[in-house]
Amino acid sequence: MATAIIALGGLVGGRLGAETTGVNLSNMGGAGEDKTVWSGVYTPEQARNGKASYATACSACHQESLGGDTMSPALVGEDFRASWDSQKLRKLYSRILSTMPVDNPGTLTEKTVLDIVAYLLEANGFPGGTAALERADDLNTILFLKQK
Amino acid sequence: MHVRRLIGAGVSAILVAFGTLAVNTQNKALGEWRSFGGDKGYTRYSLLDQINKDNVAKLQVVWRRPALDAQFTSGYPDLSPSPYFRSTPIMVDGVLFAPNAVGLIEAFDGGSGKTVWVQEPAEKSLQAVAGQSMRGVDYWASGRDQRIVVVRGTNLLTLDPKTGRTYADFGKHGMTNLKREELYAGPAFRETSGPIVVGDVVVIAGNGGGGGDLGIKKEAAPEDVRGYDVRTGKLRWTFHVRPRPGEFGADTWGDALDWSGDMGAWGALTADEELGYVYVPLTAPTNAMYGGHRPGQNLYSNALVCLDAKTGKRVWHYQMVHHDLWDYDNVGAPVLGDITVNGKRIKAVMQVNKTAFLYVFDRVTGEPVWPIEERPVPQSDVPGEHTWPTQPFPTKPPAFDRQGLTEDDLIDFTPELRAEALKVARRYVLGPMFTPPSLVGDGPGGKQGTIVMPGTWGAANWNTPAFDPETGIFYAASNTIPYINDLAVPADPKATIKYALKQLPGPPPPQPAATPAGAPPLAGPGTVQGPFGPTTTAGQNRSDRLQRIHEPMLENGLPIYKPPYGRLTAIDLNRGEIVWQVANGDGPRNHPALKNLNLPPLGTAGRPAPLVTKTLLFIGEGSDAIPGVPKDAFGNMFRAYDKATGRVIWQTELPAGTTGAPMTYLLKGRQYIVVPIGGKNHPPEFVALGLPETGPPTK
Repeated sequence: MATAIIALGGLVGGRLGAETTGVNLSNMGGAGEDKTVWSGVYTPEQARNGKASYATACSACHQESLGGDTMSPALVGEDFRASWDSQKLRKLYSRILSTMPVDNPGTLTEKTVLDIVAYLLEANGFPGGTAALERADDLNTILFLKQK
Repeated sequence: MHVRRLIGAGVSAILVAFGTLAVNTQNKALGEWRSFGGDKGYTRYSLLDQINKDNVAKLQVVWRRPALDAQFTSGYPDLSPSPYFRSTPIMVDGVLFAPNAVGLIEAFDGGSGKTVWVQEPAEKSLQAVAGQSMRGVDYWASGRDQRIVVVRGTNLLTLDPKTGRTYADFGKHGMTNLKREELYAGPAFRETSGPIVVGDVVVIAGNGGGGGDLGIKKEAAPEDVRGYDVRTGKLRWTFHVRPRPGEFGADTWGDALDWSGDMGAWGALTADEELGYVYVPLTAPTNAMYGGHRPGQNLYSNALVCLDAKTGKRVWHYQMVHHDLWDYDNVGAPVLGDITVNGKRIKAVMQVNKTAFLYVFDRVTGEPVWPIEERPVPQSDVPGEHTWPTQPFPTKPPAFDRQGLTEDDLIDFTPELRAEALKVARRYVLGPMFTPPSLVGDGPGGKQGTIVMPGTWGAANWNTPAFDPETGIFYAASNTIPYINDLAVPADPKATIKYALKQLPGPPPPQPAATPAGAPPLAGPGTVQGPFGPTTTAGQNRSDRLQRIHEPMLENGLPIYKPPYGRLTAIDLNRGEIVWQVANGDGPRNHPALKNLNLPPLGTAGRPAPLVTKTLLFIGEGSDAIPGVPKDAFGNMFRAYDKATGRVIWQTELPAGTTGAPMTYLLKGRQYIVVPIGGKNHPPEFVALGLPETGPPTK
């Protein structure tokens, strides 16, 4: 029994092609990807603020350790970093903003989400710097790379 | 084959069988799929046979549809819904109705996948649009009044199937608020399955979405079941899943009656409209691993409850697990179907539990079809715990997945791998199912907790069941995934529980190198900076897994226990016996440590849901988009099995894993199979499969 080749537009080599007509946020933002999450894109103070916001909005499900549980993914570690690898940091911001907290998504402010992003970067070992994440649009030109 | 001939064959088979089936076709017009579980009994069964063993290899993609209509993706650039796309459409009169990736309802043409209408958000803001998908909606009709019944976020609403508009006289401004006001309510309301309508009552369960029962608090709100009027949205009744003082079962909680909770049915409910009964699969209390604060059997945790849908009064109940210490929820829907046992026709309800048992009852009386015996189980030595002395064991049918773990169950692919597995396993307490959680030992050689099999993901989960009402065969898709049940005194000062699952330390303080120009905090080749300090890549992977789901595994990521890891089982419920059992998917057979051993398929753990048709069983492998998914418990393959033998007769690779249950319908002479998919790196969408059109279109 061989794996079937099911054919329609967009099918490649016996598989449905990876392309899709679905959501695509990858083109958001301007040119000039001159920063990565290794460039020190947040401040330790912002991460501290993010930790406080996390405790209020996130830790009930994702745990104070950020380790998650059976219903909530871990927000630290290799799996987390791999999930966002090679994507614009704005994607992480957008996912948090539009899905969390789970019973009231879309309600966190821009500043709160930016602070939480800073905290997650710090918790995952990405270095802090001297400038904070000030605006969501700033994240369009910052690339999340799991390794430098 | 000519389309017209196919139509004739498909429809005649339906007509012949239609009159012989009772509850399973009660709500299923010809070729339609009016409930997201196929029917109110959640059989996931269709009589359609246009796609069959002889032609399934010709299946092709007919259309694909993003999980969000284009107006949302263009209008809200920060809208980035979870790829965990739970949605299974219903199909009524040629139109599919389904929650989209944010839980708004979209109606689309069954033949093309093109939009008919999209539910308007309450206002044009990200906050109003943001949300999550649900497993499905229900359909209700009385005379000319037809409605699509929806739970979205914290609201219950009904929509006009022709326009997608709400009804102004339903609830307040077209919606009824489902928020809970109780003490300890946590999330105000969270539901991931969907509503069910019985008569003119909408029944809502859920509340916590299945989460929250493994934390550090003993207090939680009970996730009560509620009935609402389908026309007005007014509350008609509430069933207390944790009895109030004076109610039946109130004496099963000790002094914890005022503040114990959770127990919500996060799996789908089912209903026998002829009887007027709704079946509610309830789940674990808080905390699901330590119950020293809640002495007693703890009704109605982990019970199947049959309610009169008009009044919410309990008709009967059966508790599958007393005083739960394992998170052994009733997870899949209580499937309804009729079986013949020892010559007697029985209206049955079939409930799977994470335990890997299928509990079968007469759904009218609640009497077990086969005896269920109370047998002694191991007792806990955790201070303060009150292990219930016995647990129910069905005498038939046999368990459909592994129960308990001994050293004989550890892998023996090679002597080296077995030695490594033994080394891991001997750190923990092993034993039969219902071996209680244990404390993490401090001293040298101290055990690090109990390995519980099945684990908290369950052998069964929401996806498990399907039932063929023609043959009486029940199909179970299950996982073999244990869980390290390791208790410790919580370090968090906010804890109100004496013992909880051990949590690894929180993230480290910023690294010394954390400067703008600083080097990445790597300690050397092959070493990465983990959340808990530098470690090897393999060690880091293992650490992540342990942290997240407490899954025992080797350093190289292989399970310590023998396959299969994901399986399909066919159970003849006229005899209470297993007919066949197969591994579903390759599993880790191509892992570097195994690839030279020429192993057969080892089974892919996951949460794929079966779809059963006249001759076939369709199923995927689950998706990495599911939060908390165990290692490798997903895959992109989609297969058709011969439902009589368990033989795979066709498979294809989808661009992502299945995130919800497939469904099927017949429209203008063509049978379609629609399945939701999505992945961490693939936006969610529906994919529709069908046979090539070889003849002129049929009117």
